[in-house]
Amino acid sequence: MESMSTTHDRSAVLAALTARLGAERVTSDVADLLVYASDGSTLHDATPAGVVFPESTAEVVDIVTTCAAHGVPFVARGSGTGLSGGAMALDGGIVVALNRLRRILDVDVPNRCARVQPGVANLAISRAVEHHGLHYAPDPSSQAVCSIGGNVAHNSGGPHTLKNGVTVNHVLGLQIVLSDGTLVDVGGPERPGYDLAALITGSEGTFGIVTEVTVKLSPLPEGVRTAIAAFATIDDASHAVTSVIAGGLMPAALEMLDRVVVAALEAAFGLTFPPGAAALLLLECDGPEDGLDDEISRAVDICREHGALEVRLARDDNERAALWTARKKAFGALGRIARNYCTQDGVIPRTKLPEMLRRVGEIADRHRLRVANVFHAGDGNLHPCILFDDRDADERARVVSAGREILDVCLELGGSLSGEHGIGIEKREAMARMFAEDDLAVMRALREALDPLGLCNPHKVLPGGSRCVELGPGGKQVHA
Amino acid sequence: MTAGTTLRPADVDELAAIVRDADAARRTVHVVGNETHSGPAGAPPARADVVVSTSALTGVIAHEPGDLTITVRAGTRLRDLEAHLARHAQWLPAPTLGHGEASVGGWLAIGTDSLATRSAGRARDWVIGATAVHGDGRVARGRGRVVKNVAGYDLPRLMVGSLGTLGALADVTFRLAPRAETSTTLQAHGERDDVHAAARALLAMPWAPTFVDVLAQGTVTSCVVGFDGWPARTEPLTRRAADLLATHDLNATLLDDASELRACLDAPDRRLLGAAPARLALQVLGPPATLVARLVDLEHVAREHGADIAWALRGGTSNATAVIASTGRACLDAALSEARRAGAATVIASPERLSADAVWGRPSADFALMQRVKAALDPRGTFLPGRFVGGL
Ligand SMILES: Cc1cc2nc3c(=O)[nH]c(=O)nc-3n(C[C@H](O)[C@H](O)[C@H](O)COP(=O)(O)OP(=O)(O)OC[C@H]3O[C@@H](n4cnc5c(N)ncnc54)[C@H](O)[C@@H]3O)c2cc1C
Repeated sequence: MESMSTTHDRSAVLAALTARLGAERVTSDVADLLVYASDGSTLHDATPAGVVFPESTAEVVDIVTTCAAHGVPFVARGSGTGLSGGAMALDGGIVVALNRLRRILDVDVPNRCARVQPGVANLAISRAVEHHGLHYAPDPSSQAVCSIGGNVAHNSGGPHTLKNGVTVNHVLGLQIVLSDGTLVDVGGPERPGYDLAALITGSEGTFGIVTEVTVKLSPLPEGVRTAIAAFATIDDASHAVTSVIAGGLMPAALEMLDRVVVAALEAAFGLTFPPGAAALLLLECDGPEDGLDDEISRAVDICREHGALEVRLARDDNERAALWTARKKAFGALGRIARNYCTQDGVIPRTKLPEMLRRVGEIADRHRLRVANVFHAGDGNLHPCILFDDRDADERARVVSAGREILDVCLELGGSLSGEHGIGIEKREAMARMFAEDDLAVMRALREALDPLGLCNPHKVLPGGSRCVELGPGGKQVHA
Repeated sequence: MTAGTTLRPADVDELAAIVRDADAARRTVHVVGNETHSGPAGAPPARADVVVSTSALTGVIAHEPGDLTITVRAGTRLRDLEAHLARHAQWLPAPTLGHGEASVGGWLAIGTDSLATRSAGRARDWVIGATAVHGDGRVARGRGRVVKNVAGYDLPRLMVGSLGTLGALADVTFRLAPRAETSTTLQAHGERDDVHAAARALLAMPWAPTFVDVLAQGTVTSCVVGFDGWPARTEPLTRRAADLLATHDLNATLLDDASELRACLDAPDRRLLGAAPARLALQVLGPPATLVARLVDLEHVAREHGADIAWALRGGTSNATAVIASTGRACLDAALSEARRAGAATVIASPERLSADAVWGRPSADFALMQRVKAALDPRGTFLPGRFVGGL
């Protein structure tokens, strides 16, 4: 069901909420709304009817109940770093900004878990428990900023999810406000029944607003070893990835950077790499000190067998940080060589990496675009970044076509539309290319069961019921 | 279709046709795997009009060793899957040691975790895709064949542990891990308090043992620690673990052949007090640090009723198994209410037929949402309503 709210309904909601929460916590000021018209993705925006800033769970319930009473759709928003347009309010809905719900409610060291509010930044959890030798393991590159609520919504991953798993592997329970305003504690492994916490994780805010998350805390590894290997061709690097994985090693991270990124890093930050390096592979192993040197040296040997030009092994934490600089500054470097770029997200079976990267190159050439690849190679999660200039309408159109073709190749090779950034608004039509109608019908049935009012983040994830989304002006860049 | 016969579809289309016909005729369907039935048994189906076995839905559909992924039909036996993977030096943390005869679909319907849960995660963490037939005979594929994937709702994960009440699994795709080159197992018997303290200390170490279990049988309590990996890692870690156990006055033995003990810990519900004529097997669920006290309370109740009790605690997880050589209904009732006093518990095996409420306990606060999910995927209640928690 889709809501058909009117301007009158939306004004009524905003007026009622202003009366209860105060003018400072509700805005429909045009300048304010602009900030909430888009997220970290570059190609879309949509202006909401208003933005509300709850400071407690009870206020979230109040906001949702008020929206429901007037049939007005709402969208949860964490830190707005999402890359698929998920936090945008289409149809002039209300944005519920959760960044003031940022308390860590409880840290339970014996049971290795923490209960936190949705607006808490991912990294803040790890910071709060590191003196116990613990951390929250999933580490999206945006972790200093992105919220745990957003992580849950997207089932976010990161460089270390290769070994540690993604968000869903670290969520023990949730509290959610459903579209009718009901507040429910949703359990995970400690009670019999359907695994609803897992179903809600990755549902992109389409089942309700998450107001508390109970996360698993994991011990910090005893030791870490990091190496960076330079290869003359991206094929050599890809084959090394496949061999490392197939060879029985389970590195903590296995990240790849291609020639365009290498050149950008050299130009922007003066980093130096071996001459002729067309691909860098960042390898990290962690775990007990025992056997760790053996593990990294096995991985390094595999790189050498695949023709690595040079392998640098960090000898201490400083050198390790230096090796990660290349990965962490990659996006910043791209920002220096192009006015805009658009980060794609797709997945392919790991053995298809060489073919996939070749075809990404061909697509870019055909559309006269430059593409840089910085990605989670170990799990086949590609992030081709298409460089462009948003002032050039023709080029922008070519970016959209190239992005679509890249995703189609992912599907053709047996992969997926998204490894971590989600479907949002950006890929919902592509869902019909990945799934059969019956697959989607079952997903739709679930959605209607959990959000019968059709008010939670409508028009996201599933195709159909189209609403127009403006393309552009999209003048934003993504900065790592 | 007559009641009493078992249908054996040979592919997903046949399976879907059976379900669709039954649904249209308002007949209920009970899907069985190899009928080895382990894990929470559920109340026996009140009325199964159609019994469907997946025994003809077997075998590997696709295995790309380099990708570390495999797609198998749901009737495939865990033992056969394990043997296939072993040939490629790969591994899946399924409870094969204890439940080798179970089918993949049967295993996942119950969602039984393996001995390696603490280090490798739960059954559902390894499922990356599935094809299932839902209540109206609709065939839906969820997720896919890649190890990282957030496209659409996670239907496969929802199916794990749903006891076949949301649909029938036809095939499943797993991610895989490299097989360990070596395994070591230490066992240390000792005083209760020392054993618990040692287990806690081991779990606090960042060493990644595969498991740290506590086993209590009669008056004997032991800590069992396992490492799996390659020699450069397992050998020094095993030594460190033995040293740590020694600081708790425990003398650890390195077992030459730990297969029996590992199988017992993989399926304590089946192996503990295995010779007792009437056994009540319970799964005690809750925050890891609360489990020991709950098991000790359960021991008191069993002993008050003159019944033997043994239990196994999978350290660092939310899961322990207690088996009571039950001496009648009073003991059973007392044990169930004690097990549920401070958390959830489910019945895995019972000497008597029990109602769904007795098997699963009272539903949790999110039960209304579970009902909505059931109604969405099985609108007419074709997949045996009444068996699962709260009568789902
Ligand atoms: C530089 C950069 C690097 C990134 N690196 C990674 C990476 O390595 N891995 C990765 O996975 N992602 C990455 N991302 C994407 C993004 O950071 C993640 O998707 C993140 O989880 C979004 O969190 P957020 O708080 O910004 O969510 P938002 O953008 O605010 O919202 C994202 C979605 O979540 C929903 N939502 C937010 N909060 C709630 C809630 N409480 N309840 C229900 N729904 C909610 C929104 O409605 C929306 O659909 C990166 C982004 C940037 C800009």
